[in-house]
Amino acid sequence: MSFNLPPELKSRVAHVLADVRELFVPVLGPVAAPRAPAGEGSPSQNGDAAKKALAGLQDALRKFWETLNPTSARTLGGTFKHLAIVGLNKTEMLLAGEQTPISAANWQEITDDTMRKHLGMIFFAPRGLDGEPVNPYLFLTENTLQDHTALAPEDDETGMSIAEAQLDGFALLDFCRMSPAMPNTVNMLVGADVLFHWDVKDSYVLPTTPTTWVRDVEQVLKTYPRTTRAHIYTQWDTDLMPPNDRMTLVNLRDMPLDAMTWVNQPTVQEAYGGQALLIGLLAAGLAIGALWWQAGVLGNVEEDVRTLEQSIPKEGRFAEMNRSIGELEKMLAMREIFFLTVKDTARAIDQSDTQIANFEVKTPDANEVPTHLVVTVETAKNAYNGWIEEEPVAKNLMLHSALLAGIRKPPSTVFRLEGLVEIRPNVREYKRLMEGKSLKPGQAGYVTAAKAFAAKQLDDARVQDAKTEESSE
Amino acid sequence: MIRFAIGLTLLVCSILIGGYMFWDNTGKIERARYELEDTYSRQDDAGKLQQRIRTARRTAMVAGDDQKFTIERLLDIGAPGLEWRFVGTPRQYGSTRALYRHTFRIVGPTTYAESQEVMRKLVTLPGFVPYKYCFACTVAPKDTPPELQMVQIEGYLYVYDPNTLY
Repeated sequence: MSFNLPPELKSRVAHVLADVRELFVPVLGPVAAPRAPAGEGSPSQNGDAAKKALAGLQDALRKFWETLNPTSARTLGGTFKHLAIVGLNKTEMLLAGEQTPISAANWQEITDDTMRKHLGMIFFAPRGLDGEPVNPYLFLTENTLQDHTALAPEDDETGMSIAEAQLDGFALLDFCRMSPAMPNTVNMLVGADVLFHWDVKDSYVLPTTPTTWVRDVEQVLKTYPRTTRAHIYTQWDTDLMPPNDRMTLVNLRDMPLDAMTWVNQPTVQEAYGGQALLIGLLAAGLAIGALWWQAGVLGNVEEDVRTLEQSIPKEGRFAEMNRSIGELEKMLAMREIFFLTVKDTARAIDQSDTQIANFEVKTPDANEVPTHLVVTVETAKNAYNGWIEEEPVAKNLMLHSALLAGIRKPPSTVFRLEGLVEIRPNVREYKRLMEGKSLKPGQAGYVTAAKAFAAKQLDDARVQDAKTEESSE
Repeated sequence: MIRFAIGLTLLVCSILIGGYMFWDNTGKIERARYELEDTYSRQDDAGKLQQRIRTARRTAMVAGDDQKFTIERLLDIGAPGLEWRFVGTPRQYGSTRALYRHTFRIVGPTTYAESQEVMRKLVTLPGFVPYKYCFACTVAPKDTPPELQMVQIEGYLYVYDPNTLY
């Protein structure tokens, strides 16, 4: 999607956006700042108006940002190890740890990459006819590129590439972009062959020499009202400077670094690229390490599982064995109660003097592990007639049985009684009794113990019956 | 610039891919640990099963002894009194004959006391599990002495193969 705006409106929008971008440079850092504002066209009058309107807000924001982030109020010496001042016809260098600057033919003699990386190059790029600073790359490499860019250097991509390559690594500080000084204040920088000073309105470049700079400074100061105070930043010998209350001499390294002058200030990506790469590598290393550790843990656990699996039967055979032996155990636990039930039933029949035709003890379902036993007693034919004779028979059977939990008369043409014996509680009680005597069927004393068990069960049943009768009465 | 991009890419990829794989592996480890616990439990069960197998070898009959005449001699029964019969074919558990069971029936005219003696042996000797006892349920054959009644005992006989069940 695209909009076809009129050229004038387009230009206004572009300038307003540029002003807003510059406004947020102190807050956002140099991300939004142009790396090299080369070849910018002259702003329109509306653009200038917007720029002026936003300038105050920009200063306020910058001060606010510096208050929040004290490191933003950096000095030249704190930011760069080495400083170079490119004058009109001379270059002066202030190396790390040195207090006295040395002269150099030109900055192009500096070839050491480490020095280039830590060197702040101060220069004074003049403004063009439109009032905007010229391209700093082309300004500094003007002599080198004059053969390539004789007419329109900004439009020559090859020339720009050569210029950027020659200045690669240098921190370029164009002091002509310096922010205005405070009212009633003039700041001066003396170095190389230049006396650079800026006030609340503008900045100015004047030639000077190490022998005449004191007089030149006084001449400049005379052009300002007597109440104007001066800050002079220099590394030159200041012994010749007469005492003056209006002037403050400051070491060049202690000069505050104005972010507006640093035309190729590295972006966040460039400034923190190494740290980001290190953090990324550390994160990747941690992730790989953690995954490797997890793989080790997982491998150990799986190895333990495999080792254990080999020592136990396979699932199918294990289940079959478990099932078959479980059935055997449960059936064997039941068989002694079955034997006792047969004996108990026979004794109950005998003691109740019941006339029977036959009796039977069986499990309800032969294919299942039983929980109950069913006792069936069929009386002799015509031995008992009617409810009055049959009821006492059933009652006597219950009274003389130790194991019967209940008895009923199912519908039948003959007098037949069905009793129910619970296996589990009897097995528990039987085991408790037998474990004390450590007896097994067939051993001496077993019959006595079994009788004792039966007698106890019978006594319990009678007591229970007596309680039931009392409660019913 | 390229360092920042590579670093940021590494960081994001490490967080996303590494985080996902870490989370995935955590689940795998958790599952493997559950499986290990389950295997320990099954090993414990297997150990208990070994103990139960040893008990079963004492409480079941050895394969080879499950012959009609051997059992009748063991129970001291036989014609014309109580007589041993196998009912149907043995039932085996699964694919092996490590442990299997016969269904048996002991039928014949006898006294109550003798039938109780047989019952006592059935619950004493290894492998026998009676599940039905019937006294005088059927009519005795002719010429049977009057003091004898038809007794029928049914049950299971559990047999193990010592070469398989160990």
